[in-house]
Amino acid sequence: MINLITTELFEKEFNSWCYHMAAICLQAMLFAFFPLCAQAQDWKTVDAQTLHDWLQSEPITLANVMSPIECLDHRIKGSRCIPCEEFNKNLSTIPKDKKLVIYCESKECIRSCRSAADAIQEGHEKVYVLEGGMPAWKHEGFTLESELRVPRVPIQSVKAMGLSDWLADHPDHIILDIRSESSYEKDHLEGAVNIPFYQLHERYHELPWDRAVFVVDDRGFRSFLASCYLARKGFTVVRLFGGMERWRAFIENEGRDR
Amino acid sequence: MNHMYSAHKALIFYVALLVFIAPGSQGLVHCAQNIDSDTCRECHYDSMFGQSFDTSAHGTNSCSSCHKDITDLKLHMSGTQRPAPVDCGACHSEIAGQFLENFHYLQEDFRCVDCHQDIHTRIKETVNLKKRTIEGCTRCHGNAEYVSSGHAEGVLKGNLDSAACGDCHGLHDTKVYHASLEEYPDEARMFYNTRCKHCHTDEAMMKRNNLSARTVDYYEETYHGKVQGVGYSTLVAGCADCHRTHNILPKTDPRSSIHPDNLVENCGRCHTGFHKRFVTYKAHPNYRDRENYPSLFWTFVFMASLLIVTFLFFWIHTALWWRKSYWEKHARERDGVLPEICSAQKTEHEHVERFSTAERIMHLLLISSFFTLVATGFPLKYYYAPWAKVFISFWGGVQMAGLYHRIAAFVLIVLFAYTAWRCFRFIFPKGVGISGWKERLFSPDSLFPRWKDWEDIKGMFLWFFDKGEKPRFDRWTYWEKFDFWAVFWGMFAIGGSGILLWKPEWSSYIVPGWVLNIATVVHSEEALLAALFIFTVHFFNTHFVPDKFPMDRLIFTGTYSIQELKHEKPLQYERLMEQQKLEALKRRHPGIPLKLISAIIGLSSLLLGLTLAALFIFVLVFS
Repeated sequence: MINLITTELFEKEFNSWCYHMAAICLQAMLFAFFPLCAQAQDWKTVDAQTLHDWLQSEPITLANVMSPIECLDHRIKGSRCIPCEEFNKNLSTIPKDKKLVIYCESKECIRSCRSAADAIQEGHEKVYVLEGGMPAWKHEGFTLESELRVPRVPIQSVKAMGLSDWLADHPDHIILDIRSESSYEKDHLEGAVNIPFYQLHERYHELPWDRAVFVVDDRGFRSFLASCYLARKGFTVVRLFGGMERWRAFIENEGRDR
Repeated sequence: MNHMYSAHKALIFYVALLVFIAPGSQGLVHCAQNIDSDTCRECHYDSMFGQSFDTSAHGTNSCSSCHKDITDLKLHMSGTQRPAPVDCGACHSEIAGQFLENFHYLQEDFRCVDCHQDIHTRIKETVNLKKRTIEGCTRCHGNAEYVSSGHAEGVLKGNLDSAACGDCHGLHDTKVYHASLEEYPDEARMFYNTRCKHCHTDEAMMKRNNLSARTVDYYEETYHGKVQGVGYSTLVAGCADCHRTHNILPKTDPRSSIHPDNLVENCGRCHTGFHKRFVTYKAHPNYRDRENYPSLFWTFVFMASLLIVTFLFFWIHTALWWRKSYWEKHARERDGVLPEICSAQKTEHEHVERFSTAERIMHLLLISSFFTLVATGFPLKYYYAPWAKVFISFWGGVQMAGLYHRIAAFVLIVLFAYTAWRCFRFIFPKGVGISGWKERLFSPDSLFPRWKDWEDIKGMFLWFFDKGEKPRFDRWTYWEKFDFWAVFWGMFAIGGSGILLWKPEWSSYIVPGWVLNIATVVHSEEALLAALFIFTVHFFNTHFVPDKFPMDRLIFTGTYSIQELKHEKPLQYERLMEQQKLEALKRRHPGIPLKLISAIIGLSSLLLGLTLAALFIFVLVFS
């Protein structure tokens, strides 16, 4: 039994050691994947219910940092549309004496965190990020407003595994990468052109009207609305299911299988 | 149009009047704001707002029932008052609740109309609902994989049981898991496994479709199923890992992932380094099915019979022994007869050795490894028990439990090997050679069964029924020999199967995959036999028998009094006296620290064992 007790104690110690190691690894991963969110913690987070209460009771600045097309399509009532990529240059127009709440469409809030970091750097003190982003707001059942809603139309999506076949079957295509300039520079599909989503409403006419547009984004969450927008403008559009993230996973698996 | 404006002005006036007169009457105000449908149709004259709408599922509603926000015709016609997305949840509240979980809403801000674009002409569909769902989803999502699946074939043939998109992904609460990115691995896997199980455990549905509703149960009896059941679905194969997702086909179809020709590739997506015979492993066999799984069936019958016969014999033996001992003790107490130990001579209080230090350490190692094996293995065996997850989390997860299980198994295997070596040395002592091995094998000091054991068994039963005196035992009683040989037999059964299951891919180079199914049954049932035997029969025979209750610390102290030796093993005592060997066995009386430690270890082990036995019996009886 002594052996049993010592074994258990050792196992507990070992467990605890394992947990510590796992926590350290997790933290390292978080830093690696979300450097902006993990580094500065000067801003605070606010949950959807509290934000809802603030909007009823006090004047605050609410900033939607998605692209103008997305923001005008649907946003929390009273939001200003300031794309994440242009947040810095618009900071001077945001009053510093009021609470500034930033949100985006992603529940990871990467774009919000990046914008919040910019605001803090510019001397804003009451900076908040909506916890869980717009999905959390919607999940609570709170309403949105639509100023220029893009009509949703069926957009065919192509999975990573079927991409090469689709590209071969449609030689007359153009690949449109709507990610940010920096993401595009890091990696992109061969032959892809880059018009970041926040500029699409100004630059869509640069696309050739007579070619099928194959829209690519980060994770497959934004390409649908961009595609609907382009379809509304008269383009023939198809999109990559799961975006570059799933494409990369597919390539990685393919490599492993080989 | 002028007429329309006049009518509208009159309406507004009427509404205003009502608002002032009855400000609290919300329902009335609401009705007053409505614009007559015929007025709407003056501009919206398309047939989908006319006759097609009237015959549609929503035909009994007026335009303003849904488009409540169009309250000012003039503003509406000038383009200022545009219709907002309709709040369908006002009537379809249940669906509206589900929609708050819908990925298309949360991430893409879909509204009802984005899928239900034919809402003005939509008729209530029951027969072709699934077909319509597929048509709706595949307007955006590729259907190449799904259309060749068995599920799609069923739907197209009008089989309402067959799964369409919504049956697996949710219809109004569509989930999106980037399972391939391992983003929500546990949640996604559990969700999809649950969806598969939802239909495939439906007795009536499966019967209609010539399928077994027990397949899920059989899966859950396998290692994959048990690990998933205890909450670690990402570590093992779930439904979709073998059957795939959209292209699910019967195993007779050469395109199916589970077709015999594709199994090496299919299993190879998780397992590596196996012989191709590995794939003969059965993923969800019914070991009660003699026709299709004869080897598993007979293994199960054999193991079940072994359990029943062993427990039947020993539990009856135990009950009768307790009855006899208790009655005897009662008689002694009633008649004022002192136990023999109280009337023993002074020299008989002296202690003699029964177990050497090495043997005591071996037993301690046996206890600790056995408890570790039981406490890490049984939470998987009974993964559905309420305590299973508690045990697994105590070990730090199923992987850590597996690691401890293997460490303990290694300790036990080393003990077994050492014991086997000692047995060998007992029969063939150093410097003696093989001469006289038979005499040593059947000597009273040997643990090998001999004819006297059979006589002792008969004698004990006669004693139980007051038909004779208690047999006079030598060094080893038959139940002690059984304990010893049970471990030996157990090591072949449970150890052999455990080694095969330790690294099943490597085992496939020795045995085909289906042997691993047999190994699983043997390992599991033998474990139950061993654990319950130790925690009931061994505990009683050694500790709970009325003369010893609550425990005998002999195995921890290693010594007992000469009087106890004389009482329990009279033949050995007489032999020792005759051979004048008793003196050499005499030891000092164990000190208080050793006694206390022995009591603590012993009682804790007994308590832990009894608790575990109670948990197992609870599961066996109530599951």
